[in-house]
Amino acid sequence: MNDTASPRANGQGTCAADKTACAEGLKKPRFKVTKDWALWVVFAVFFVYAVTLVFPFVWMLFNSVKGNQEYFTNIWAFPQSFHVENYTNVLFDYDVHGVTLFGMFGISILVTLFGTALSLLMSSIAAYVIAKYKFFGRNALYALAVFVMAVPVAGTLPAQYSIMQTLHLTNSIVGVLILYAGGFGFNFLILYGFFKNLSWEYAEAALIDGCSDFGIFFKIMLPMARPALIAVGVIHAIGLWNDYLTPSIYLPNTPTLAVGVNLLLSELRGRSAYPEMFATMIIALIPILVVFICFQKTIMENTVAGGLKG
Amino acid sequence: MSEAKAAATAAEKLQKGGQSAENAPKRKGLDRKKRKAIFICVMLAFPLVQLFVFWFLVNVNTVVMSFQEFDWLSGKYIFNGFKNFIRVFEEIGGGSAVTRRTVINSVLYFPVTCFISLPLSILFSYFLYKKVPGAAAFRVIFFLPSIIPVAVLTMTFSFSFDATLGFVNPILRALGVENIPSWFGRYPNNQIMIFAYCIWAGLGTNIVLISGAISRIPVEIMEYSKLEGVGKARELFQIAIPLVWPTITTTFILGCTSVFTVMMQPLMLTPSTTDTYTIALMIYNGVLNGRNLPYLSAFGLAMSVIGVPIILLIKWALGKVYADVEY
Repeated sequence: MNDTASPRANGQGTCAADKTACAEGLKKPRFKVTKDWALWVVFAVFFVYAVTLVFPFVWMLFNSVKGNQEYFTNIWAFPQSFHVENYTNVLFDYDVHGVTLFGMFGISILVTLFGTALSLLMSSIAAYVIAKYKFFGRNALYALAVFVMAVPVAGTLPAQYSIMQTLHLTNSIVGVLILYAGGFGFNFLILYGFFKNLSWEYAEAALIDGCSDFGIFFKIMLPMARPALIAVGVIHAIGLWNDYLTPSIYLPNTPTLAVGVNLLLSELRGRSAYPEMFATMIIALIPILVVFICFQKTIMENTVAGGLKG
Repeated sequence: MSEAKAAATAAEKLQKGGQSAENAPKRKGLDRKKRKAIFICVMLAFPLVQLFVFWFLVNVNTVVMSFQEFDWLSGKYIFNGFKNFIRVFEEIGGGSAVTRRTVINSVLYFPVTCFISLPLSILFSYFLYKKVPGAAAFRVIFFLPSIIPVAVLTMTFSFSFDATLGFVNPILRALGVENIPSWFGRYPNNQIMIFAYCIWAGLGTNIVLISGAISRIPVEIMEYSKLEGVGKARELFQIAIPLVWPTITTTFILGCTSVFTVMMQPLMLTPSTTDTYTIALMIYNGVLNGRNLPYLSAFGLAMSVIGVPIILLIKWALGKVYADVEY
């Protein structure tokens, strides 16, 4: 039997096999070079695809610190001098509707933080009440939450816009936050599952001690749901940070980073200020990469649970 | 033993949720049942009002608006029967080149996502599962486009193909390629490039979803198949795919819905042309520019009325392909 045909060669050995290996005092080699040529062919394909994903950003990073003239002279050369001012210029000098890139960061942070907090609060309230309390219409509400997510209806944007106008919620951060504060989306389903499996014993003990239902939720259940809330919250925050559609319609004069960067990039491209354009793109990437590095496992595991839109 | 039984019974009682709380000692003032009712009403008030206004009313309003038109004399919306719907189908039938192309472009996202992107994602996921060298790093890199702001990703893609300052054309020229096309110049080149972008940037989420599902297949099943001498192709098509079929069905259905939802890619990659319009982009631009909202509602609704039953039918049919297996 060749090496790769064995389950252990692929790092998928059974527990029994692992125990035997441990018993014999054998150590699993950390890196194993596969002899399966097919996997090396696939590796080559994966490598090329990965390069196409990473290389443009590395190329932009180098070119973002060049002077304009230097960039036009040779797009491949390593920077001769580092123009850090490209970054400060785009952060503080250029603006979209009077808002600098730095200001857009502030708006995005505000919208993302409050939007995520509100959405998590409303979703956890709805999920907790429907999961833990029996009342008329409870099952119908759960079915409705699933239905809302499952049936796509195109063309509701004009009606939504019309309603937002009627309620005087256009061009207002409050309006956007109210739109984001839905309690019955994907977050609801994840948190419903969490609360459904959470023991009621803690609540029972608190009730006996005279705690109110509100106290039980805010002081006991919500803190217990922290891991689930963080997992759902990180994914949701990334979604809001990157959201283009809602702010572009309802916050036309208060651009978030996702909206403003697009307008700024178009302007810089129009001015042929390419190094500054690259600097803008790198700046826009940094926060999301930092979050990804900090929460990589959480983000990817929760995407497996179906959390992030492609 | 009996203690354990008693504890289990008590726990079972307690886990019945709010009902068991009836046994809690009575507090002064309102009784437990009323306090519970107040709690439920107060807590659900905002989520329900939000759902009512921004889902129910929005959908009802979509239907109502689609039967209306703006009357310039009275300055109000008035009922106009099926005029908007008739106009939609007349335009798709050839009355408007833009509307017709918009629908064709949108429908083409279905084969691109379901028959190119999805099979590629399945293949990539399977080989990540098979521990291709560097699998963990590849998985993270492939996922990155899913979290990068779309404005940055699309600009990166389109600028890479810039005729004079991008880096793709010099590489192609160095490889001896002549007659390099104008990538984003005219239709259908620009539309093909948008599809290429969707595949390039869209594999990541599907790969994470599907490779996650494959990794949950009990390792014993794969080991047994190996002992039986099952090859990779057979393992993929006869073991892995049937076992992760629910996940594949979900991603397939998401691919179907892209017909109605794709908007950002053409908006960012080809902002100055209507040639690459999609249903969602046409509605979005219409709303942004304050165009005929009732017509746009009718357009979206007509597409949903045709599309949603087809998607539900596909979902039903896919559910019949393999029996759902629990493991």
